[in-house]
Amino acid sequence: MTEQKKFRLVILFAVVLTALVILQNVAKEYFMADLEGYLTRRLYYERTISKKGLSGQKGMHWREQE
Amino acid sequence: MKKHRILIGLIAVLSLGVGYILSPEKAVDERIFLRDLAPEIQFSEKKGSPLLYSSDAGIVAFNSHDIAPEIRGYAGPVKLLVAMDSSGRITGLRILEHRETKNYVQYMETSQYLSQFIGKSVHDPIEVGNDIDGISRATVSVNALAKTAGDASRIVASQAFGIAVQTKERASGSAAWLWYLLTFLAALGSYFATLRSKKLLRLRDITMAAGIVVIGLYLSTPFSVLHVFNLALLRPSASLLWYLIMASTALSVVLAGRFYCGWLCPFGALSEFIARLPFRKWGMSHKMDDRWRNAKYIFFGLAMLAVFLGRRSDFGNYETYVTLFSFSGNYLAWTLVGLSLAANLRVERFWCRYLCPVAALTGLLCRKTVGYRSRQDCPMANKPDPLIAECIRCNRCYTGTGETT
Amino acid sequence: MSKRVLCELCPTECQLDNYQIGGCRTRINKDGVLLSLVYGKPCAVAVDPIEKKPFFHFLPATTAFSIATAGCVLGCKFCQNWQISQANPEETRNQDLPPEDVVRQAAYYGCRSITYTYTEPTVFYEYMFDTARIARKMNIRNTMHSCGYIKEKPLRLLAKYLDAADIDLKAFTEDFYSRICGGRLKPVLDSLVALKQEGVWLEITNLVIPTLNDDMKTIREMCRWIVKNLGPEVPIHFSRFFPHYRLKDLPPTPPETVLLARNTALEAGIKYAYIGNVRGEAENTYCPQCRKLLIERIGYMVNQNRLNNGRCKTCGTTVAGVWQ
Repeated sequence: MTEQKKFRLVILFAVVLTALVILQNVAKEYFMADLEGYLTRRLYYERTISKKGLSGQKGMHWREQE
Repeated sequence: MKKHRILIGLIAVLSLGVGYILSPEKAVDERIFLRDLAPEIQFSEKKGSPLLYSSDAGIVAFNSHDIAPEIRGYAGPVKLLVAMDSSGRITGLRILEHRETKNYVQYMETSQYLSQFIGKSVHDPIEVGNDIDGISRATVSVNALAKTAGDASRIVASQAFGIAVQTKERASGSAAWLWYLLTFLAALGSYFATLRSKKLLRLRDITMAAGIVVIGLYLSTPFSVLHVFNLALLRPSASLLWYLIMASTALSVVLAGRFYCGWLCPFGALSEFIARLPFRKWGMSHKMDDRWRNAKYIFFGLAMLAVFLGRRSDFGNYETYVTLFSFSGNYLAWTLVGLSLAANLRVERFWCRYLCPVAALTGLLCRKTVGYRSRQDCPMANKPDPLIAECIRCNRCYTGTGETT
Repeated sequence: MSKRVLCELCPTECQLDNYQIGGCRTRINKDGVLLSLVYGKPCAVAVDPIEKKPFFHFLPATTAFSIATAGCVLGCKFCQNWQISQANPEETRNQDLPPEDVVRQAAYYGCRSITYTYTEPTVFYEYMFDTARIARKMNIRNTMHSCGYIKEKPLRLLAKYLDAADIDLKAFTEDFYSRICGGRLKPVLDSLVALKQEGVWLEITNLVIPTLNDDMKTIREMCRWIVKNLGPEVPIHFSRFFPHYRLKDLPPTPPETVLLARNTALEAGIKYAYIGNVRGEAENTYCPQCRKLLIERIGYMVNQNRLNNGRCKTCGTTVAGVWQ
């Protein structure tokens, strides 16, 4: 690999990283927290609750869902 | 360079304007709460950094979400309006907005519950289970409420009143501004001395080391585009140090272009010292070098866009020196720091040349100067007769002919 | 990430995001469908005397087949069953007991009734509802001991199959409910009225906690409300508090306070006021007319029952309750 090519790799990686950092700054505010919460809950359900043999009986409703 | 200037200037004006129009800050709503919080006090407009309503009575009020937006309850941030006196004592507190399950937090919202925050000082723990009562079934929400109140108050107390509280905030003692001023003046003096005599070039190594120690490690306040973003959002800080950094950097740009980068910036210094280690540098064409150097302008523009549109200066927080010297950042930011430092072994001043937004900003603003022709040992590895925006004024190649045009 | 679900069971009205579990710990939104995690999964199953529930005017000296699952719609700091009420269903040791088996076992043990109790039956509403329907067909009565923190529609639907309810009226101030229990008083009062209207036999339990709800003025107010809205024949049990869960720093209630509360109730026009967790004559039922002893109890034990077809043997006054 030529030195130019090595450099191009390094700078590409750095540029992508920088872009990700800025993107994450913004994403954190607008939807990452929701996603994180969902993943945490989902993982807890899949790893813990679903293995305990609990029931999955449909809950009752008394008026139309919103 | 002219093209760059026009484009970046356009982005700045447009995004600032659009962001202002779309501004989610409901200043009017806060006003109503403010009257409720302290009816007898006349508050100013919300301004500064930290964003505050100030008053003649010495009492300040703030929206906790402007100060500590990262704390979250069950379903999002719990936004508070807090009034605090100059001794760091909370004099009033209201909940502005939250998305917690309504029926859990009914008691949390009562003035009876919130009254326990009144009179608490920033030196108190302000912690559920310690000096704040918990509420059955609303644990997460109440924890978020107390943490929001405590953290935001501490940040305001330390930044607005200079009260030393136990947080991870920088060590901004009363002498901080003096240290900065001395370092700056010493560096500027050395700069002018080396313009006259090449024998003194070694002075720059000393000021760079001072930059690392004083500006980086001790004060943890390298000049950052966040300073400028905050200024553009009309949120200047209340601290003397902040004004000094802004003013001295502005002055140095007028006098000596990117002098800050070459003589004071702790990250630049660190990069340059690493680059001096005996590793052979990669060769590359000027064309390719020039192309990638444009990246810093693109990122600066993007960050500015995000910051001004969202009116949140922390959206533009990607600078490696901020991460490194404030010692806070996520794994992505730290990877960028590591990569940027390691790359100096093979590419001189890697971060400064390609990515640094301060380099972009000061480069765009600096005046034309003749006499910098570049040479073999240029710390920026500039090509012969480089753009002045790429010169960090180390004065090695300075020919002494014609100061400015 | 799929849609939110509103749980309409209790007045908390949790808005659940996908895979979020409600405050009751037992109901989850799984991809837009609300599921009960505890249907047919009781963590406590026992045969108790009905007096333990406490029901004093409902089939005295019979046994009740009692079940409970983990979870609760409230979070009272004084909870006596907090190990299961404030536990997640995935943390408790649960049995596999579908509704048919509950009724079958109740019959097997000779229980005249099934009681949904210990924690908070509202959280296993579907399980309770289905069991109650089957039990009704098998001529086994259904009773519940609940905090009454449930919305009106599910309560009225359940009431069709419910024979008796013992509702914990934990205090008579909104402040107590929000501060100590994490709920509200109003929905509980609404539930009491609804149960009365639906013709469910009602008894009320009030745990008297020193300094928190032992103010006699408030107790008098509460009793007057009961007399006015539910009638004077609703029995009230004033129970003695023992330090539990998060209220360990309070002393047990002095027996005199509990007795004083009972007297306050009697003065306010309540016909049948009892004490709980304290031994004494105030555990007995007396004829409201001639003051003669009708049912003598020691703790959960009935020593003698001198009622004749729900009437006082001496003066013939009818004593409200379900006696057959």
